[in-house]
Amino acid sequence: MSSTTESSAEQLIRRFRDVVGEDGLLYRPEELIVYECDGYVVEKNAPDVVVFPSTTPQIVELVKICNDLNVPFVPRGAGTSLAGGTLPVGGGVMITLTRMQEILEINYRDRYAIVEPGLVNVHLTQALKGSGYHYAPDPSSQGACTLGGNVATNSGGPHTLKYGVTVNHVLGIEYVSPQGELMRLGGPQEEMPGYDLTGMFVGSEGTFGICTKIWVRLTRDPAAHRTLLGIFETVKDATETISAIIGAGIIPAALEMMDQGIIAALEEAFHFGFPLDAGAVLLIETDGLEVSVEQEALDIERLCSENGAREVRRAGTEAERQLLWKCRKQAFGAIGRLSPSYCTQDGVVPRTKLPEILECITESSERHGIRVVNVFHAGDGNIHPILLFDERDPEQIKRVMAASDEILNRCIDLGGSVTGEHGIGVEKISFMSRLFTEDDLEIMGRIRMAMNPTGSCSPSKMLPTAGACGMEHIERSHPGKQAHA
Amino acid sequence: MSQSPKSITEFSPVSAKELARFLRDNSKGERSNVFPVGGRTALQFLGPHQTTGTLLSTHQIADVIDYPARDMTITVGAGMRTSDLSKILAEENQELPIDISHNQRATIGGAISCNVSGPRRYEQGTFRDYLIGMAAVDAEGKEFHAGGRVVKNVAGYDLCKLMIGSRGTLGVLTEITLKVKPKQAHLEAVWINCESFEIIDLLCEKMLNSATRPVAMEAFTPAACQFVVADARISFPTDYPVMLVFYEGTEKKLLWQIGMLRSELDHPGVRSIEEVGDESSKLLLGTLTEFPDGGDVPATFQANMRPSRVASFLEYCTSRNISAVARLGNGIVTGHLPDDIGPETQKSVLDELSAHTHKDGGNLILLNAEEPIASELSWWGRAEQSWSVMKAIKQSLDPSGLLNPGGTPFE
Repeated sequence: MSSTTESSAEQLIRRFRDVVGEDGLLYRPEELIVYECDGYVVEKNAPDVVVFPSTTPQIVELVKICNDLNVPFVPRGAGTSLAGGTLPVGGGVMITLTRMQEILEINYRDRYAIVEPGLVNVHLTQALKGSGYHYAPDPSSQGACTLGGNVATNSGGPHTLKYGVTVNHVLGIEYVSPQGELMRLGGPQEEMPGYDLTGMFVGSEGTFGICTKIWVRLTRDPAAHRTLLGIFETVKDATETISAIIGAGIIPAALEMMDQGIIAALEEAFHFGFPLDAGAVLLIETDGLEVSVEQEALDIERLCSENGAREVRRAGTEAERQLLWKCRKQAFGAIGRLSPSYCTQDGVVPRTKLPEILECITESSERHGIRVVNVFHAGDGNIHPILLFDERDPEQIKRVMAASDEILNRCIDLGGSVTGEHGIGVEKISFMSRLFTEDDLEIMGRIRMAMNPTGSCSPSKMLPTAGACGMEHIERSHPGKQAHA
Repeated sequence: MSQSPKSITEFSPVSAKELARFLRDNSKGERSNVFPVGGRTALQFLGPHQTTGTLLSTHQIADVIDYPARDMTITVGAGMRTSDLSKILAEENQELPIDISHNQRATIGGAISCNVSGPRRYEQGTFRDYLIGMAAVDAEGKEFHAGGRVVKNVAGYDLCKLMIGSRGTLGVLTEITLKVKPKQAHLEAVWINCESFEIIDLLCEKMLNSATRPVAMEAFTPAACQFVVADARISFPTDYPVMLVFYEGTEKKLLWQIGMLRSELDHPGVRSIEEVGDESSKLLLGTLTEFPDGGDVPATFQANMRPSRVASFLEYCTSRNISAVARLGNGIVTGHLPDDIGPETQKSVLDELSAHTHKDGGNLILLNAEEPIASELSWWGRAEQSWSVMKAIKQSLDPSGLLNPGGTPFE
């Protein structure tokens, strides 16, 4: 074990066993391999122990034990983070929440649901099906990712263009503080006196405590949809169309772009009939009242044509619409056809700067000899260049890192950010001092100290400093980018 | 009513740098209390009982810093008047769809600090949904920022959320970046007279599955109804409980929705359904937005509850002749106590109202109060467990408690 002595490790496991039983624990090296990384595969480090609580009181006990033994701990949902948000830096305990997956209450009259953090995002959607309501944030990984993880990273998804990201749909949170105290912020009432700690907790990447219960807002289903596929000869034409649509005052429910590289992989996987010779396609969905949605679709079709679309198709049936969305949301699954490993970036630029950033991506790809395909939330300016490589080749990893850095630095130069929805995690810590001043980071550090005084909860995440007082011994065992620099 | 600080010096810096220098010097020297203000439309939110300190006004920090209209974001100085902001956005046919009272005087920074919202929050949301970036200065003069100028951004802690509604107790906002929306062409309100609040509750349930999409749903007690009709200069029946539904959009969209609403709300308990008209609807929206400023009343409260509890709460308010307006879809009721009851009765009524909200985990806070209520009752309602966390946050950003002391629930 890397961060506990043998005797304290034995004590830790014995005490954990008392709380969750033997079937709630993993600690043998071969069992821990699965947990050495999340969706960000570039950096790996196994935890010393993985523990699976099934109740909130168990989490309280587990955190208290960690504190007693001065062991750091990190919460994890499904491990779909693409920024190393659940990487157990320096080892320690991983508290995995996938056994807490109940929907505790659905209240249509007051438009909220209460869920446990390990509930898979799409399972809430399925539970609400037919009610006229849904939970709006729909990350592409919604078939696997958990709502607790969505809270930690303030997840987005294609439909957040119109409906907002996770924080816009979370009313309250119950959590176990890093000191082991059960706390509650907000709830089904929209306004409570004092600071909006719920809003700040969302997106804190597990550094403020372990979320145990979430009050989420339910959103009315739209009465009607129109789902369009704009086909363009060039990426430039497609990006100009995005600006034209938003500039015309139309806010579609979703506005997604896929370039030629990803179209080929998707066509091979799903046989939708994507044109393989197109430079880019835009997947555009407008929704709302039947009385207005048709006019909006006509306006979008016109704007596509005016900006060089060679064809605009409509999903003629619900099945066709669902297939289009399946293609988009499972795009990452299709990437296995293109390369053994990939690294997805998550930059954001002002929407009107999309042509510049896409040009930068093309140049970086060529300069570093790394193939890049693009599938992203164009309406939000949230790019997801997917860098294809083979992780068995250290030289390729270096080039992937260099290209990624170039792209993200360009996002900053264009007035954007290095993450729109994946979070900082460990992957992007080095960019924090480019995005923020020393004073900004010092203020954020003070907030973390207030919420997580010992730094024992998710150390070495988000801020480019050690966890906090008492956690200086924690070092990133795989410093990733720095190691490859 | 609480008073603005007396014997107070005032300072109106022209830039964030000057503001930061002032706070830095103050923290190292005199260490006087500092009360950040914008348009001075919410002086009652300054810590009560404060008699010394400096009113720090941001109203001269009011430039447009960046307005890339096609990106639908705008960055401005926090001291910009919200009416000026509206005019600038309107030139590009855009708007910030938050209803802000005292629009001509209020500043955007002040509105954010007080988390102001109005009827349209039901559909359009609150500042939590629009503030994407900010710069501020802490009590020691340290300038800091969070968020950015892009509509989606999860880098770093979301200090924007923390600053919304913090009433200047954590820092002084100097720069604001907002996401904005296309301006809607028309507004139309529908005035629905109902037999009882029970019927209003029933209609609310129906509206949950309505084919229409209202932007606001309000209800009034009879006392409030008389005020609303007079203030908005409209002529509608006020003898029975009223529900008001607002729609926005194209004429075609409004016509269809109003027609649909009439058929959906066809119920014997509904006495009449009348369209208010475009111009009167705007006046009505304005009246409802300004309603919390009750003028010369003993106390104004805001009760927060689940939406399903609002109708019975309004019924109780009616029995006590309270002038109250409810955001039906949000569970927020603002009310003014009548001035014809004595202080003891006022206090007992407020206690009963508080108990009503507490039953289901809600809360009741005072927005304004005259003596003796001002000094004898808690402005913040029942203490919450989370206040201890808030206190830790306050201490981390303003350890000496210089910014708007008394302006938080936990002090």
